[in-house]
Amino acid sequence: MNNRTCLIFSLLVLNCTIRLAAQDSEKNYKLRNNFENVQVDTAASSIYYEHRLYRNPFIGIYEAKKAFSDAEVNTFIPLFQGIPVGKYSFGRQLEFSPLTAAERNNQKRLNKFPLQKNNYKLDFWIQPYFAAIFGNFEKPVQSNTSVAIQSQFYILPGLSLQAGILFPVTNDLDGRPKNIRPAPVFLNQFYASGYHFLSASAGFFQNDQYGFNVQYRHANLSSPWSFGLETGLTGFYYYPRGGIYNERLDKLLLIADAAYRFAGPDLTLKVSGGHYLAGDTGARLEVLRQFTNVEIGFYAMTTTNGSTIGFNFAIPVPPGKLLQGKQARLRTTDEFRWEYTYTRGYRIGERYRTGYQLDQKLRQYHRDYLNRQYRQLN
Amino acid sequence: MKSSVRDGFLSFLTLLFTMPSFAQTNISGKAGLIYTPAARYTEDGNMAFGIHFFPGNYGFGTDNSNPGRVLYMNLTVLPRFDVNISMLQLFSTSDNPVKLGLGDRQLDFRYLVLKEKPRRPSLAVIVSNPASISPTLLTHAVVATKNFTISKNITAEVSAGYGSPYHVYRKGSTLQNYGLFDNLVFEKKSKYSRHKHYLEGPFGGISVQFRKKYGLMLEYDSRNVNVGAYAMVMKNWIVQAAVLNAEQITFGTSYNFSLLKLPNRIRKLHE
Repeated sequence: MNNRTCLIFSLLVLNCTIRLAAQDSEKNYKLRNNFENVQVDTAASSIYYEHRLYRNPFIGIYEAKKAFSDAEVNTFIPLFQGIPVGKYSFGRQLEFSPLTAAERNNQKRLNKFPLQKNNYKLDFWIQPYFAAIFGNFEKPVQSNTSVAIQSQFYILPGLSLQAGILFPVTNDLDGRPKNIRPAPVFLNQFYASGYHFLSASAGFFQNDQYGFNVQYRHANLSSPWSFGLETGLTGFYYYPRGGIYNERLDKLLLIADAAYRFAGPDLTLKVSGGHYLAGDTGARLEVLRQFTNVEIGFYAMTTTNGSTIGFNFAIPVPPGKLLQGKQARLRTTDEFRWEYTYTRGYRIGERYRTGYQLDQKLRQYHRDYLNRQYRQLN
Repeated sequence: MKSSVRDGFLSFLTLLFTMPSFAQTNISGKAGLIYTPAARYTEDGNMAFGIHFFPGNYGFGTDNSNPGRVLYMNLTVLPRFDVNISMLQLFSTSDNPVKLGLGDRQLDFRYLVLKEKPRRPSLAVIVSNPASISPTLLTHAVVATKNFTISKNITAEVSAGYGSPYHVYRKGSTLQNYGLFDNLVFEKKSKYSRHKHYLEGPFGGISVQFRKKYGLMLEYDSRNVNVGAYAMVMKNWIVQAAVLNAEQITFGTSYNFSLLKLPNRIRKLHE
């Protein structure tokens, strides 16, 4: 090769490399834009981040590994509402360990007020709501369907305000007016320390209860057992035209549960019991399986109001991200949940929803669930 | 000697796993042929959904002979264990106007007691949830299935089974709201005045598959002999049709995918 061809050749190669690098960095930029509140701790070679797009946290962990590969981190610490959930690292297996108190304190010092200023986006998502009963001959499906645009504002670490606007689609279930109204509006405080997790909420919940709800869970996210306690004091509310109607705050929810997780099939067996919304007391046995993005459960329940069986599922609503900039984002919800109860009309073991349920949220961060996906990569 | 047995077994396993884990479904959406179920192995986490149409003379209406359809969803919720949810809806005809609600919902369970081995067929037990009020499409059966490789491009699946002449169902009216265990009865199928003799007694069938894409089916459903064909029109999508008792036709389709697959975005990042 003479000098000239050599030069041209090297220029070509260089050009290609630059282009590849440019493509790489563009791809990386796009990936990095999925993350919020990113903090790299070079001393501990760990990275803290929040990733709100998907209900499967493995996507966040794996995207973080790819997007921040130049930061030379090997410990990934997902945040939930600004609070670290746990430490994950890639080895032959995906390893989990809880954060130490010192690590939590270090992380806290980087928080601003309001927390939303810690490089969080204004995150808007589209949330469908669907409640239905079946079997009426005149009208086979009677449903209460609506679509809401919801958002969440981070005030302090763990403390968020959720609000939105709800657009009704159909309602032949309860005779309440189909007016455009606020979606569930409430404050939620998430807290984590060691194996202890807490979620406390106050406000107007889905579908028609307002008041207070506290959930505690003892969960080692790498061991099969976990235990929970939940209590709430709420009252009925709804939005008639031009106002709000509410009844007294006098309904008690008090539920204790124990869950065991079988690592192989990602199967959870959960027994819970206590005092439910309609004033009935009883117990519920649930078997559920965490598939990659979808969760499916079957349950049997018996209370002083009767017995029933049913199934439930949780799915992400595709496509996920719709519009995303540096400051704001519009997406479809990371989770839509639905439960089918075989027996209707008897008010057996009814409850309400407070955004997320602590046990449902935490089991998504269980090492074994994430590990199965990691093993599938190899 | 030992190693050749092991090699044979390994190649058999390879064959088993390279065969598409999805294939044709029977009238109610279970792995099977036309009206009969099979003890076919389905991958853990496999989900299938689809629809089958049936003609009036071989239908499942309790007080008429209207044609109709079955919408179904089937999930292999645990290794060896399938749950099938189906909804039976009759079509109204001018002779027989029918007014149905959502249709008759059914829940069936299938457990693969034995997995297929080189010298042993697979064996499955299928039981329907007894809460149905019109028990015409309930399945209470035991079935065995064995696969054979005929040539490089041709495989055959042979099934034989027995449907229980007894069933458990809810003796009641569709206009009433029942508790979970109200009015359940165990009785001979023939005692039910509008019975259709679906899977009552011995049944069996054979499916011959070409290039893992097309197949022919022949079955005896405990009443009639049915002949059909199926084809994979797209990855994961199957269409099928059959002639029942050389008289009327049935057709349907199923689409399936795995709930255990990694998300696409991760697989793309991994490449």
